[in-house]
Amino acid sequence: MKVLFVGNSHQICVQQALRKWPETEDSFEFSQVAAGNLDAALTIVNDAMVPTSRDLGIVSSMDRGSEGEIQIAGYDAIVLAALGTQVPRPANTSAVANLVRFAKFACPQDEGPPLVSETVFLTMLETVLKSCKIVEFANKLYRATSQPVFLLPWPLPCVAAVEPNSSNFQRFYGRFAEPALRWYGTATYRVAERAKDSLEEGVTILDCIPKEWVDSGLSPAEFGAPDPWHMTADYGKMVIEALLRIGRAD
Amino acid sequence: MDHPYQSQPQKAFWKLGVAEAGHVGAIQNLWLPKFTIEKSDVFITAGSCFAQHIRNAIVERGFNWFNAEPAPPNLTHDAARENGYDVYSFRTGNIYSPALLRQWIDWAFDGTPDCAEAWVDDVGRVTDPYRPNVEACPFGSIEELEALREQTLAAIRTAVAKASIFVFTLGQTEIWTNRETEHVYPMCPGTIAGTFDPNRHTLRVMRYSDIMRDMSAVIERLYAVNPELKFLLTVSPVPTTATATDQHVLVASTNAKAALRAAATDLREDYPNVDYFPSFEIIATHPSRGRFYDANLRTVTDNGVKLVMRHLLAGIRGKPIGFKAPNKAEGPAKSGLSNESQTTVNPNSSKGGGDKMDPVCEEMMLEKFAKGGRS
Repeated sequence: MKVLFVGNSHQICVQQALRKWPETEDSFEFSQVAAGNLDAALTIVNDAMVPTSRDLGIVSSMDRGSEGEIQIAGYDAIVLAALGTQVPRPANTSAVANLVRFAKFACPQDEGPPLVSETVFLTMLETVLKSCKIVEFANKLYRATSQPVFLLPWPLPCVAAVEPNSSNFQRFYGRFAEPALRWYGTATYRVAERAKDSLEEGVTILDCIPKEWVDSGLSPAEFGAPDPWHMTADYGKMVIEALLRIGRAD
Repeated sequence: MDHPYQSQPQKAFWKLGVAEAGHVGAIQNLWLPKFTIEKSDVFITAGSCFAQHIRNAIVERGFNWFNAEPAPPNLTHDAARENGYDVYSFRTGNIYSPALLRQWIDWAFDGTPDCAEAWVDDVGRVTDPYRPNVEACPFGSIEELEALREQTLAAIRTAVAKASIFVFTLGQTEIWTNRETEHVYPMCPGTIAGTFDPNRHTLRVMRYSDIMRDMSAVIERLYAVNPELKFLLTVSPVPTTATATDQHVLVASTNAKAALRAAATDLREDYPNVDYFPSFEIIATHPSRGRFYDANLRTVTDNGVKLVMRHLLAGIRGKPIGFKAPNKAEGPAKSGLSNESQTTVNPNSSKGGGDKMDPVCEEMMLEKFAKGGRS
């Protein structure tokens, strides 16, 4: 199975897993697109050009496929990471930071925007997810290649993200940080389900983590590395296995 | 010696003021504002569903409409409206009766009473009895409902403090109340949400004196908060959808409109900061020949709304209402039913469709309870 991985830092766990991956007939090519360069990537894909690493903002530390042209055609699948990461971090002062402020766990002392109901919040989150550039990118890649495109969801942070003074998020939300992040994590995954109608037929959200994690809203602690927001090679292995399951089923 | 009629202007005479105008769109000086209204005035709007038309029209025309509880970012236009945002200046939903307006104002400034209800259904979904249609889905918890209700009450306080013109449309006189708490519901329990309990819920038909009492209380209360605030009252020309009295709905509707209409005039006479704008007369009286109603003889046509707004703007600007005479060949409406082809409202008077929105109307939902009717 020849797979092209394109994405941001949430691909690193996949990359690490691939380093340990036994030699098989499945081949993987790995590229990384900095999120900020998706605009350029979209233009390129839209114009049916072959993007180069420079065009896509390839991070030079990638061990494979990091130089020269990236052929987007000829793969069995393309995996894009990560759906939801373009939703800015809650602690940022961005539009979606405000979204989280709306959530029911907003701090009483928070003088941010007013509350909205959970239902309205989910509707807002759905709108944001559907309009993410990575969704547009995935759709355009599929149209350009007719190859299956998989969207890797934003990995749920592990519980260390909400330990005292562990992150800006925790400092911002204080004792509300854990319930807020759990709620937000679950909500993001559930809303992603509702975002499927904005995807092309050949674009699939890759279902790679256990349902219990989604219900919990956080990943188990042992999967968080090098920080609570990024995942280990073991997590990357789950991604690859999920992909291979689909490939073999087909 | 001259008598008073000799010095009266044309508008004072039916023949000159109405009959010879030939069309309600050509009636001049139908409304002269009691106080100066500027485009820069800060408008807030509330009331029955017809008030939404007024809100839409003043927004389209660049008036300064103040939204104290705007839709959050990243919500689509439709989703915002489905969730009660951007419909009125605060997210109360329709306020059909003066009694309900008074309740919202009292709660905004006195606090929500402990006995305020939240309806919880069998699966734990929660509805606000005082605005049952304001969220597209029920609330997830009573806490959520109460937090968001408090937010709306805060928005009312903000709106009242910042506004200079409060446009309120009087709509209905039939109200449903809780026998014990006397709280007013916008809709009969059991129709949109909740469960009707004859031991707890009772119908009250507000009389003229009730309307005067409630509206006077509101006007005086808000004057104390913001002495600069002026009221522009209208009476909705939209008839009652259904009555729970033993009267025919046509009679019940006429009763309601008559009481509301009479109160509006007397409120105008009683308070220097209250004016009445005759949208009801423009749409619902016989010079219009019913042509501004849709085929259901209830909802108002786009042209009817446009004409109301043209009269409103003509009055605000102190200018004659522009009107192109209808083509004589078209004649009056033969059936007396809606026939907009005869209404030559200046097509340039409004852009129309761009932000056209059907009003959110809970009362309309009562139609589904009619037995043997045609849907």
